[in-house]
Amino acid sequence: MFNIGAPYFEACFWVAALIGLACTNPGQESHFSLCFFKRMGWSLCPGCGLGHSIAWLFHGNMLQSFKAHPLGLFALAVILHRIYILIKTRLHQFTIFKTNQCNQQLTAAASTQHL
Amino acid sequence: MSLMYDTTPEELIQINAHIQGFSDEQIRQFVTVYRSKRKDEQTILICCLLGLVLFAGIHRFLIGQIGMGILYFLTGGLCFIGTIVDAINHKQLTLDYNFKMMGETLSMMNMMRR
Repeated sequence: MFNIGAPYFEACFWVAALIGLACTNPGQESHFSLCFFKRMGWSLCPGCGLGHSIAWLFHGNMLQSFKAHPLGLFALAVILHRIYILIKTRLHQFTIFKTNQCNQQLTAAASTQHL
Repeated sequence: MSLMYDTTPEELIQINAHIQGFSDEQIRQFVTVYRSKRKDEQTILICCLLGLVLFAGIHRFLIGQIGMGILYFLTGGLCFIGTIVDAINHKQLTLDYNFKMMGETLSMMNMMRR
């Protein structure tokens, strides 16, 4: 099941995660927590509060963002950069693929003309 | 070419596309350099899973993504979500890195020829 090396998986995941975070309201108390370890009661996770932090950033509230987690801005910047790099790589590979396809068609057409 | 026994099929396809028209000596050069640069899928997966029990982000450092590595390290793998996503996606991660290493190998060979 996990053998698919889908090239778009990671980009879609990060975009979906950011959109999901942007749609939540970090001010309200919610029972649902994505962090598996927090549900088990283990409170040592150094990344706790990142979700809320990024959600606050999307609402434009810097102070609450830093209160939730000090690295919220850094995390958002790194994730945005990663999405950008992923899309650029896919576009680059796609253009190479397309030019190869065109070249093959051209050589195929040229060789049939010579016959 | 028989030295490349541990590459994935996707890598082999790309390598074959790159070494079109290479002489035997050039192929040997390419294989030697590339084999030292490439990363194995299992290495990346194991380093990624290390993040679940120890500290996270080592696999990102191996792939050359320092920013993501620091982020993962300082935030416990983005609250373990990043670690899980990377574990699912490790093959594509290593493939992307290996493709980049292929490009680097080719440009290095170009520079050595001059």
